[in-house]
Amino acid sequence: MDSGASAPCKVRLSRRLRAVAVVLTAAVLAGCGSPYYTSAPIEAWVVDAETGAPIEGAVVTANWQLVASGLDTGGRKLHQLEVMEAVTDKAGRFYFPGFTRINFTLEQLKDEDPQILIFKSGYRYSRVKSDTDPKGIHRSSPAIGRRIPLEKATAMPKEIARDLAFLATNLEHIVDAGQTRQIPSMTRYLLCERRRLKNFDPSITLAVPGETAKEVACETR
Amino acid sequence: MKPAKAVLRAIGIATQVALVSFASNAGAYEVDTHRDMTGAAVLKSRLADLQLLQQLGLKSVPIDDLRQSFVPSDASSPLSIIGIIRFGARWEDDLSKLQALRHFYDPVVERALDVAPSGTANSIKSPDWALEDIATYNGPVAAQIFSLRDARNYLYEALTYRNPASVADSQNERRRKFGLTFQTLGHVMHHLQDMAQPQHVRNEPHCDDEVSCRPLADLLDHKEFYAPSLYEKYTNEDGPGLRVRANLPFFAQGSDPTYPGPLAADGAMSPRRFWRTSPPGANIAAGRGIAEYTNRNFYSAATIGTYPSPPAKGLVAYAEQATRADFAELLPGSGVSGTMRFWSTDVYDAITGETQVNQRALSEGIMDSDIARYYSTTTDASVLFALNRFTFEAAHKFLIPRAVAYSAGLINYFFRGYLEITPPDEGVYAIVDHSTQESGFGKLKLKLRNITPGANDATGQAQVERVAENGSATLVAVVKFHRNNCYAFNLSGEYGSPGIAWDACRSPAEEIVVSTPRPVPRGVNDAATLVQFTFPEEIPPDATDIFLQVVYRGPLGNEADAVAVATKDIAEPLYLTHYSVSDQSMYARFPIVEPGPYTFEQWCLQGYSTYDECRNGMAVRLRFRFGASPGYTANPLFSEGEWHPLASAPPFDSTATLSAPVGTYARVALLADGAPRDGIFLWEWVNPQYSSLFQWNRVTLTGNHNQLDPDTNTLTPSTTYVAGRGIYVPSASGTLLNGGNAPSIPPLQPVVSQIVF
Repeated sequence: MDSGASAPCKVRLSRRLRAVAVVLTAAVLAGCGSPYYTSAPIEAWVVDAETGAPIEGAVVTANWQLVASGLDTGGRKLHQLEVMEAVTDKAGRFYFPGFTRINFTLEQLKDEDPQILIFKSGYRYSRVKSDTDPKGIHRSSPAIGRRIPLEKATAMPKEIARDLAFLATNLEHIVDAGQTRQIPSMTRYLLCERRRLKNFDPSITLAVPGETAKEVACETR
Repeated sequence: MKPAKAVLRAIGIATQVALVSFASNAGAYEVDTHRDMTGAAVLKSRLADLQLLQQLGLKSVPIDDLRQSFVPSDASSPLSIIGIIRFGARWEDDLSKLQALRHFYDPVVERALDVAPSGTANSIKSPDWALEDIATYNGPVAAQIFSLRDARNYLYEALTYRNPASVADSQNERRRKFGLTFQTLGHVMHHLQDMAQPQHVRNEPHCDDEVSCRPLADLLDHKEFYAPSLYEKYTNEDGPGLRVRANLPFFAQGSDPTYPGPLAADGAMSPRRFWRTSPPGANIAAGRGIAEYTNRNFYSAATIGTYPSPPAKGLVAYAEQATRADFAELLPGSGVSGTMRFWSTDVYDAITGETQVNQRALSEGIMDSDIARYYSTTTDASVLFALNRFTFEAAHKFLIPRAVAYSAGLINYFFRGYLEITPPDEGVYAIVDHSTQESGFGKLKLKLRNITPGANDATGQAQVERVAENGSATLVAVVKFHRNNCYAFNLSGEYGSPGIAWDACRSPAEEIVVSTPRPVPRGVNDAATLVQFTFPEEIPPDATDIFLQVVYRGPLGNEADAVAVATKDIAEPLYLTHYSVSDQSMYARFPIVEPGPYTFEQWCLQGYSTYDECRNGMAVRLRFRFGASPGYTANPLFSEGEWHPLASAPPFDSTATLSAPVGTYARVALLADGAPRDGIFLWEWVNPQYSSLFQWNRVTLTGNHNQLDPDTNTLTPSTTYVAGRGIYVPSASGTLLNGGNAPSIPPLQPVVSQIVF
């Protein structure tokens, strides 16, 4: 049986030596991230799912999630390789430049390479990531060159808030990693959306990642 | 000798390290799923009700409001209440690589994760770890600081911690402990959610780590060492395309908290019952715990037919008992044609007593990637049956609401202790003389009743869950307050006094004083019972924004160690001043009490042998009590508001007596309830030259409220003061002090009040 055929760390040793190597790998390294990663530039367009019209002013975050190996299913998500944020233009376009980053951890990129989260008030959020766990140093998003549709949020305010709670959960790893400052627009948009929803239903509860006690200014629609 | 054993011998202790590393990969629901389940549970729990926050002495703001925030244990950004509980649910997995070793519990065999060759040596049963009710874990490898036991300690310290040397440290530490309390509840809730994942209660590890687990599985020929949980991965899916997690039935039928309710119906509730209610080793068929429910009702990928329940399905079942579903229905729009067969099982919920049918408990082995990786379809009959996304979705309908329900129930259970504070018969919680010496309140009296809801008795009557009255528990009173830094003994610095701006005077830090612990008096489970507390450090007279708390620590029902708390927003120190100002006027010749050319002293000496005798004789004595007064309030023997012979006055059990001869004042400070309280003023005129008389009046004590409104950041003093004759009194009586036409009006002199309390 080939134990390392699809693993990120390929080991080709005799069975006995392989055992020792495995033990050392597990006990000492407990992870096998690349020392650096590169990401291709990401350009995509956000559109209305029904009309296909471009959506201007949608906030888009991208976070390259490092995952510590040897932990839970799905791994421990403690650090980010990179976090970016953009807001779509009139054509619904957003762009994240390509980069090369040193990975100072022993953790690795998995399927959130990046996780792209898109939100615009009045729409349901959208999430884009890789379908499987890609391997290797060079990463690119399946969003590249795509038109990403957003569905209109037609539910009652409480249901909309509950849906946004899942967006908040997806964002929380960025906050957990201490990189809230890199998603200021998303935090502000969500706080404003919460305020808007609470105007309809004051009982709505939504914990917004990165929120501080500071008041935010919201545009009125 | 098998190769695996040879390898183990060769690498010795290092293998144990590796196995620990391996086993830690056996995960639970993914952390995002835990966070969302936890968030739903918090919304379903009593914490979403502002009344519980008030009971704990916290601000009555929504649980997602950052005006009430706490720093989590990783010292990251402050989080709201719901945020930090969600954080705890996540951190239970992320804080250590070894955590998952404590996230399994098999109620059938009563064991922790049991994986050959080390067995359970490195594992701890989930309830043992999460509760620490049987043992505590303080070792270098297994150090637990987020158990329910820890949560109780955190809560107690959040309520009572005080560093006499530092107000700031005290306040910060109490807030930190509140944060830890909430975070720790998230950790414990995580465990209950794990118990709603069949692999966690059927001893099925599911490591997904390709670095350590997969090679080790191959090397030792233990396929279960590397067996990623498709159930967990599928449950956590949130796009693109497939949004599973966001559509999980968090709020569906069955998600209401399991406590209070049937889990405690037989009156034998304890934290462990959230996991199992049948005795260890007993059959779990009727168990109400979440581990029992999940184990007996659901298969996991590698345990189809290996446990007593659900029943094994054999070749006969495969051949005969199945329903078919069309792929056009299962995967609409996919273009896949054909049908898939599903087998059903009964799902018995001992909480509701209902049995429902899970139509898709098993499917046939087609598309069985969860099992096919390691089990040959030609040699293992069990692979005839499989678990896949369709069986997962069917299981979600049962398991997710129950995970939420038990998690929410845990919150309700943890905070169930409920005490009620009412004033003592005297109508005030504390009273001291405030005429001649400046002192705080060193003694406090109140009535306390345990109103923690319990089970119904045999007649269906609701009972309380009893606290211990046998000396094994303690009570402390806690008074929380801010200070009015402008306070002065003559009351010139009171909020509402001339020139006093509360915002320049109010200390920002909240302080507490804590009474000496005392035993629980008999009777508190049955009726409001008098309890007296003494404070080594007195409640200061400059206290404002006062909240009175009573904290109980000890057995509660079947729980050996619980914390129960009552919080009451009581009034700020109120000052009652009695004074006599006859010396402010000029009089006609004695004994005529009409305007004339004589000062009061001149008038006195025309009729009395000494001025002091006159000053005493021309003043009335005030006695009062803010409570029932037999002979006065009920069936009064003498009419109210009229003078009657003092010798015939009914006995009066006064709380204080204020004697104020002319030219003097007597003042008491008292802590009153927040609600108005009826009482009696009894006026006594004792004059040797005339008949001694008494008069009584009904009065209502209305507390003094000087409390900041955090929403508007305003404080409106309920009393305004004016100066007169060297003291400050409420404006309403100030005109009396500043009237009169005597040429020289000296400051009033203080006289000690007599307190009976």
